[in-house]
Order: sequence, then structure tokens, then C-alpha cells
Amino acid sequence: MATINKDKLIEELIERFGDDILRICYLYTKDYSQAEDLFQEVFIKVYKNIDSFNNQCEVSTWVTRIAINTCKDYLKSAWIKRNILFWSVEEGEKNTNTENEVLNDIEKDYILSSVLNLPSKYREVIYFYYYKDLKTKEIAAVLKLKESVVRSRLMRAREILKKELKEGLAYEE
Amino acid sequence: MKNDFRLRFRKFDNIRASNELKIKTLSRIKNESKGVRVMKGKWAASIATLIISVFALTYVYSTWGVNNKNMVTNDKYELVAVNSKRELISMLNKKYREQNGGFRLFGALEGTKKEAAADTAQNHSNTNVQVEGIDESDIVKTDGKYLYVINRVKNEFNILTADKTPKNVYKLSGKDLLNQKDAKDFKDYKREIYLNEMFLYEMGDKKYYILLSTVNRYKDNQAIPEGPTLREKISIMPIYYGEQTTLVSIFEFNNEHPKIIKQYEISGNVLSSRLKEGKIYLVSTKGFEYHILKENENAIPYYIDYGNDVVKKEVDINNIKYNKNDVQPIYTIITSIDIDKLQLENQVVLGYFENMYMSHDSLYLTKLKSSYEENKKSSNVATDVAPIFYYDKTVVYKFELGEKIVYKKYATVDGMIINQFSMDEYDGYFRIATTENKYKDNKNITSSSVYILDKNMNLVGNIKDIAKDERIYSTRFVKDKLYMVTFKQVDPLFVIDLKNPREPKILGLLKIPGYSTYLHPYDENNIIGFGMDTGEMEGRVVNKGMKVALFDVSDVNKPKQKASIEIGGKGTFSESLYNHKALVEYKKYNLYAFEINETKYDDSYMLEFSGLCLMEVKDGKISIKAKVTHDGLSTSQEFKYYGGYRGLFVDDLMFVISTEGISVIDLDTMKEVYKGRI
Repeated sequence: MATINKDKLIEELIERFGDDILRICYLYTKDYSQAEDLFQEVFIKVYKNIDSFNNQCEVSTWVTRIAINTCKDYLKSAWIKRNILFWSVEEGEKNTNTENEVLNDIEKDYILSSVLNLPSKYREVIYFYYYKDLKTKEIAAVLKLKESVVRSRLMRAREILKKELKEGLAYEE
Repeated sequence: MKNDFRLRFRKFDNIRASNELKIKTLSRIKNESKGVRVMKGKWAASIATLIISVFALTYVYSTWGVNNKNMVTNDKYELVAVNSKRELISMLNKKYREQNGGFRLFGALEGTKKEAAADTAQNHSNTNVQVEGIDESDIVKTDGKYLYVINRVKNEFNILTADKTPKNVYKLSGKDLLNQKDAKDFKDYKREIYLNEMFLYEMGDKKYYILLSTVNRYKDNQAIPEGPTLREKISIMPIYYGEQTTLVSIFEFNNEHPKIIKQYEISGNVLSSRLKEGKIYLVSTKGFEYHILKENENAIPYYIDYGNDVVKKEVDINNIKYNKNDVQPIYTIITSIDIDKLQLENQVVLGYFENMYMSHDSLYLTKLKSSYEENKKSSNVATDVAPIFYYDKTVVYKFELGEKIVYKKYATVDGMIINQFSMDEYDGYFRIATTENKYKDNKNITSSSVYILDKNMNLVGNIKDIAKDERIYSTRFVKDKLYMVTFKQVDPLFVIDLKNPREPKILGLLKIPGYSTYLHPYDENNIIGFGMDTGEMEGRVVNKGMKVALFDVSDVNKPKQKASIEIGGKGTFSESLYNHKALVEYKKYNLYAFEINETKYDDSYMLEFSGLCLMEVKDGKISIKAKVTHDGLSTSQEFKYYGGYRGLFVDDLMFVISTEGISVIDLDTMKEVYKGRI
């Protein structure tokens, strides 16, 4: 594919899927500036692989999967270990005011922050089930898991949340 | 509970990717496609340093005691030849099983190439190349008589006369390049051909042009399945089923009648290519379908020879080399094609390489290796997290160019490089400039280094810890000097003396706002830097418009910024910032032409001008002479993409070529004398 086409295409992809990808990155990292870094990684990978995208699935799915993989790689990598330490010493970048408001709002939300504190394997199923409104079968496909695993993770996640929320906020179902 | 969650989750809607992030991402993509890695963590700050350094050639044997720790002395990265096809395939299959077919990304990068350097005596411009006398392929070329133009959007090749009213004398569509010919093995395949770049070559009174194209073959039954909803398709990661090759078509061009002489097809996509003394050097990369391979598949790189018969041949298995400790399911194929003798040679290495540099005698491929070590001793900070030493190494493989391409030796140096300009060979010495990220005492330390290696790839000299907390944005080796721009808050220009390869030293440095991503030697005493201007916004550093600066390096100890101009506001972009071939120099008139997408000065990111910018650098001054656009050239309602602007110079004319049109500027009057569709 000609570079010109690729350049145009990537702009479109960033425009169309940017918000969602940033959300996914935030969901996995719980760190806004890290999410922004991963956001860039994701689209670099997308760009490098545009040529090999063959329409076997929707573009949105493809980009989402790249984002999930990038985030998971990041969480697994040695890099995060290094940087968790690093950031504990030196505060991460300051977010702008709007970002701060949004993040504060999310962090202040007891339920949402409980979700964000779940282990990532539960966090992702909750996200796709409640926010992206996918069916368990579809989540299984995105995450490359068996449907039964997705169901049991969802259940387990709900149990944990229920317990936590009851302890915290006398939350009622 | 479900509804409550849903409601709460709506707050996620407020997480939005800002425009700044999008633009940052785009510019990184543009850099990455050239092999640049942007530092993680802190967004770079706003001043760059230009460093000039020199190597001399007086041998000081007593200084042999350089820090040899930088060199890996064992054979960790050594390449050895493959013994048999069976061995190779089982090795790859073993690797596949180990990795369990996990999600892997390997894609071919866009090619980077260059051509013979401009000469004042010539009455036309040439492609802007790194090494004088070694041409790099590009989308436009001229021989002073004709304009040769590849239009990638329309997948067309055109030859036009280089005069005031350019006349189209030849037109070829990419898809017609092979007519009906194809190899037997590909009988059931469909085929697409995309024109990519070209070379021009003259030998005696014979004139040749060589078109490089990408051929993509796929089986029809693997076409896109229609029907199932996106969510049903969600689980399928795109696996690339097509087979990609590079088609080299050699044409003889006399009296406006092109005649095809020879065609070759080579496995993989082009990483980089050169033309030197009648020989085309092509480095291509071919990843293969990552599954258990069988012996009868296209597992071995091949080439297709189009003669009277179409013959598909596998590369001689003994010409495949690999590193035992790093088996990657991707081939890098170095091919040389002799245009006169029509001979082809291959050398294959298993693995992916990011950058290629070619001198008159050698070809170098580089690979970035990132590794880390855990340090258990100092893990008193957090219980479950051990501090880690993380470091990048660049492994450089040297191949000698003779009748055959022969693997010579490898070396490793600390740090990562940005592009082909990070490397250079001079008087038998190989020089490389890297940026290192080290993690030590809970701190991330960034600094840059220059290494000098002899022809056997042994380290003979180095300078380390240049410009702490900054990284290299551009480097240019000019004979025994190195000009280097590093950047954080200010843009320091360093002059480094490499005169003595065993004792390189920093001569001078200059700090100015903004940074250069490409350094162009203007003459012995001046360097032009192309880059971005920067400013501060809410405590962080952001790019402003494009900046072109003229550095006076006549006093190497005190480089000066003689002149500079800023073009456009935030979001301004020029291809020349990451692709040196997008900059065209015409020494005769001291003119420089480059594409510019210019935004308004008010931070609105609104595009104000998109076209070609013609700049004059003369008597220590930089001025913009003309701006040419083809916007609105088409009167039809249909959407047209105007872009890909390039300039070509012949005599007193400049030809501005875009995806849609061509216009001619008279350089004496700076008036447009012709404008038309292409």
C-alpha cells in the first residue's frame, strides 16, 4: 500500500477509534499518562501492520485486539516493574485540568474505582460486558477465551465487587 | 446491578483522546516508520544540542585501552550458515511451538533509499542521498531531459519532457508491469502490483530506469468473507495469507521508447535499496505465515527470473545465515543485481533488521536488542518488585560488497540508533551514534555516545555520556566530523572531532530552542538543520511550527546559528522532517524544495497551506522564494487527494509534482509558467 494511503488511513483510524483505545489503555493501566503512551504504541503497531490487515474481521476488532495485546504485554513486561518504582519516587506527568476532572470523577466513584481495582482479568470482562455491551460469547472472542471462562470470571468479578461494595458502601443490588 | 454498572461506566465516555495526543501519535508514527524511537516517560523538552565531533587518522596505539566492555566478545550474536532446508524448517517450527503461535507482529517497514549526490556542475537536481555516489531510489527523478514520476495514489509511472510545457511521452500502469506472465507455482493466485520507487542509470550511451514495485499474491478463496457480523468475526486476528514480493523491472529508454530488458521478483518487501556502479542493492524482509511449516511451502526465500521462461528459484540454502540465540520467523534478504550483466546474487539472514546503511565497500544492518537484568541486592524498596537494569543494545552486522555479498563480522554497541544517518564509514572506520537509556539508582538516565570501529568491527574509540537527559534527534557525519543534535529543553548542536578514531572529542556545542531532525551539509562551513520549533504550554514542551536553521560551523569550537525561519503554527508538518529524499537541493541556485503542510499560527491546528515550499539559502540568509500548491486544480466535484509534493530542477526551471498535477516555475522570475493535470 502506498505510504500516502497508509498515512491517511491511520489518521482516520485514530480519529474513529482513538477514544475507545485510550479508554482500554486506561482500563488496563489505571494510569492516564501511561495510557497515553500505550495509545501511541497501539497506533504505531496498527500503522506498521495496516498492510497485513486483510478484512478477515472488522477494523474495530482488529484495533481493539492490538490494544489489548499491547496493554497486556505492557503489564507483563519488565518495564512496568521498573517504572512502578520509578514513579513512586518521581510523580508521573501532570494531567491537564480537564483530564484531572474526568479522572477524579472516575476515581471518586466508589463502584468504578472498585472495578478498576479488580485484577485485570476481571476488569476486562466487566468492561466489555457492562461498558461495551458485548455478549459473553463475543467477549470470549475478543479476549480469546472460552465462553465458560468468561462467564465464570464475570461471576467471580461480581462476587468480589458485591463483597467489597457491601463492606464499603452498604451497596444494594 | 447491571444497569448501575452501565450507568457508572458512562463516565468512561469522558475519557477522550486529545488532539495533542493524536498529533503526537501521528508524528511518532511518521518517525517510527523510519526507525526512530521516541523516549518513553517524560515528553521531550525544548532545547536541542548540535554536537560536532571529529575523528583523525593518526593512529595512537597507546590509547588502545578503550573501554572494551562495550563490546561483546563472545559469539552471542554471531551468524552461522544454515546446513540444510530440513534443519532450517525444523528450527523455525520448534520456535513456533515454543511460542505457541502467540500474537506476533512483524511487518515490513517503508523503504528508505538514496541516490547520487548533487553536483554544482550539473544542470539538474538529484535525489538527496546520504553517501555521495550511491543513489537511493525515490518516487521522482530527472536526468535533465525527462522527468520520471511514480504516482503511488494512481499507481502510475509517467515520463514527461523537462521543458516549459511538460509533455507526457510515456505512461505505464503498475498493474500492467508483468502482463500475463507469472510463475507456475502461482497459477491459482490473484495478483496486485503497486509501483513503489525507481532508479535511473546511465551506462555509456545507454539509459536505463529501474522500477521497484510490490507484488501481492493471494488465493481467491481467501477473499474477505462477507456476512458474519463483526462480533462473530472478533476472534480472528488477521493472518496475512498473501505472498509479497518486490518486482524489479529494468527498462532501457532511448528515443522515448522504453524497452523492457529484464524483470526479477524477490521475496519480501523492501527495507532499503541503493544503486552503486551499475549494481542495485536491495534489502527486503519477508515474514512468513506463522504456523508449522512443511517443506513444500514457500518457506525458503525465492526469486523469480523473467526470461524466455519464468523460473522461480529458491535461494541456495547455504546462503542463509542465522543467529543460534535468536531465531525469528522472518527473513532479511540482501540482493544485488548487476544491470549490465543481468546477474543476481542473494544473501539471506534470519531475523528482522531496522536500519540499513551502505558505504562504497560495505553494507551494514542493525538490530535493536533490549534486555534487562534484575538486581536482587537492592530490592529493599518494594517487596514484590525487584529493581531492574534495563538496557538497549544495537547489534551491527557488516557485509562486504564484492562479486558476492559476504558476511564479515558483527559488533554490539550500547544504546539505540535513529536512522541510517546514525551510521557512517570513513577511511575504513565505521562510526555510529547512539542514545542510551539506563536505569540506575531508581533513576532513568539518558545520554548519547559515539563509537568508532575498525574494519574488523573492533572498537577503537568512543565518547560516552554526551548530553545527559537528552536524546539524539539527528546526526550527520561529514568526513572527520560529526554534527549531532540532541534535545530536551534547548537544542544543543554539538561538534565532535573524530579525526583520531581512537580519541574522538567534543569540539563545540550550541544551544538553541527547537530541534533538527535532519542535518544537511551546505558547504564546508555551514550546516542546515530541518526540524521543529518548540515552546512551552502548561509546563510541558510542545512542538510549534517547522524550523529551518543555518549553523555556521567554521569555528568548530563555537558553532553559531546564523539564520533561522519558522514556518506555520502547531501541527505544521513536512515529509522532509523524516524522509531526507523529500528534500531536494539545487546547488546551482542554492535552492531547497520540500513539501509543507502548514497550519495557522493561532494554535488552531487548522491547515492553511499545503504544497511545496521553495527556500533559498544564500549569503547566510534563509528566505522563502515561492509556495506552490495544486489545490483546486481539478474542477470536478469528485474528491481529490492533493499531496506527495516533490520538486525537480532542470536548468532554470523547477517542476512541482504532486499526486494530481504538475506545475513549472521559472527560477529567474519565480513565476509559474505552467500548471496542468498529470
